[in-house]
Amino acid sequence: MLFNSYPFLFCFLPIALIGYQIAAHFHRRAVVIWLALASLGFYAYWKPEFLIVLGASIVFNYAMASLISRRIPNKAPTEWLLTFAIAVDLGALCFYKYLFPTLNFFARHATGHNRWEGVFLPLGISFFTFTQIAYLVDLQEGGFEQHGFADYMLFATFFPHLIAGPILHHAEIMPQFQEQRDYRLRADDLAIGFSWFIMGLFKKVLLADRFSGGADAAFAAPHSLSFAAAWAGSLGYALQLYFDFSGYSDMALGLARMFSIDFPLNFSSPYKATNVIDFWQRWHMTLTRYINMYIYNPVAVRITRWRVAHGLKSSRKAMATPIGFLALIATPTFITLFLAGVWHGAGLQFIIFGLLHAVYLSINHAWRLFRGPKNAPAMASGTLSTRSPSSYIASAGSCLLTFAAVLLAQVFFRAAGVRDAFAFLGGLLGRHSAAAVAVDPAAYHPGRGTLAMLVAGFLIVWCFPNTQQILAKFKPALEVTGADRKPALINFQWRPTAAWGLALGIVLFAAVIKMQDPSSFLYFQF
Amino acid sequence: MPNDRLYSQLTEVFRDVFDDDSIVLTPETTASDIAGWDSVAHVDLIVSIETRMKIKFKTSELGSLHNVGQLAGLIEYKLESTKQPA
Repeated sequence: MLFNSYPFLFCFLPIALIGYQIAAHFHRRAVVIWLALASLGFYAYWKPEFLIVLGASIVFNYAMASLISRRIPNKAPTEWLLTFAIAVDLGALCFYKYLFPTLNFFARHATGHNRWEGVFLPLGISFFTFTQIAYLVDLQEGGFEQHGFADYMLFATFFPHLIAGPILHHAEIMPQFQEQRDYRLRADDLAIGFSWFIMGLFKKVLLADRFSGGADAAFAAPHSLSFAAAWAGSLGYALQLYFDFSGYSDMALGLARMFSIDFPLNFSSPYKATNVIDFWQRWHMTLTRYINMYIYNPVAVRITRWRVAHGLKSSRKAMATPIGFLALIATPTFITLFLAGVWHGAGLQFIIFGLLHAVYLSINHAWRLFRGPKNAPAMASGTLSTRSPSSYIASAGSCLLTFAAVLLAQVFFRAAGVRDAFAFLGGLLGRHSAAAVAVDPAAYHPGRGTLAMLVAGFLIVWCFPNTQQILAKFKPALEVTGADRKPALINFQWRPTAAWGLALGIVLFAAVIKMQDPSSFLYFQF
Repeated sequence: MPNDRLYSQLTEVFRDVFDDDSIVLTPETTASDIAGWDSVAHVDLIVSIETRMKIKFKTSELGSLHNVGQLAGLIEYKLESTKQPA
């Protein structure tokens, strides 16, 4: 079920809220069971048969968690159980996501066409697989006691995050489900949550979906793109992707807040980032956190420990040598970003996307290393609003350079294949002849309206506050990022006033009218 | 403060890792307060603490720390549990 659809807005959500309120009169367990069942219904609405995949995944992982937690007090080995569980989880993910595309990749090379039909990807499979693997890893390391089945099922299925994140960590969510408190709906949380949801709906329906036509047309005919069409297409896609996914995340965080549950933030104005390290701290933040915790850290820590055990150094000085840089920075970065690229899809273009970012990050780290630590910015710094005019220009320049690097990688991320991506890059460099563009009936020709939309989009992206800044007075999420503490160029704050209510009411009305043909979210395919 | 010694040891490690003698740690210090504390420096920091204190961190512990106070608490806990006879 899509958040931006009539059945969700006018049927599912009201029932979920009313049922929650009724259950809250009984017991915490009733609330947990109601929300878990409602979430299963939410999932089943799309394709009931995939409820089996979701259900099997939850039962299997919970059973493995039980086996592991039973062996911990006896100090019995549990590593093999964890390895087995992760292998099964990743096996299922690979079956649905990679098997048929990979087979077809080889078939195309051998016979020139696809031989397999493929299977439908169960929505959200990578998201519910990731959250459950993290749960098992942390449990096996002995960090906590296993939770009851109902709590676990709700953690895995809670509908605001089930299909496209944010990728929750059990340590931040489980205590909220287990807290002994009054579970009835709260007027303030409902107001904040619903306002946040409408802001997300605005981004999705009134912004992202306005850019999709141009971006789709440009990427559908990458061989006949004029210079202007290529730039309009790629900039339009950058805005579509950002508004689509951050709009989805806003809706997810808003929905959770309606039930007085706080989620972690997923976006923090990523296009305002002034370097690529900063970009990844602000774009799909829960994925960055996840791969940092479960891929980058284990790899980097192992390499560093190995070096220390062999009498080698891990200091900045050591990193500044070619071997040190390769071992301590480039290797873990390339492994992590390669896997992040593969996660986004089966296809060489996703690997190139990941590796491009690995190159960017390595260059960024090298830059920090050779400029000296005192000049390096603190992790969460970097916005457009700095003091002196020269540093303002430097920040704006860094921001544009970062955005250009991101844009280049997004061409690979969006293109149907590597060839298409290179053809698109040719368009960006103005290398397609006017004659080639003229003869192709499918060629994309952006109009004046497109330019106006692009200007409006980037004005919002670069000058406006993000939704958590607009809601900052009301503690919208679990944590505030350093970047969000710095004000945007244009500032305004949400307040529970009639004026805000009216404004958001109009936005909701406009969004609902435009919603007649609900479009899916880009991140559903992952 | 009972953990004065721990904080002074930690401060030494931090000053060494970030090559900055002006660092003063408080329990509220976070990554955004210290220049250069990114994912790469974090790993160096963690392994430097491991070597200095003769402890070992787990994967799940590395990502769950939000400030120096939590880091110090975790180290104290680890030092305590290694002291007790098995």
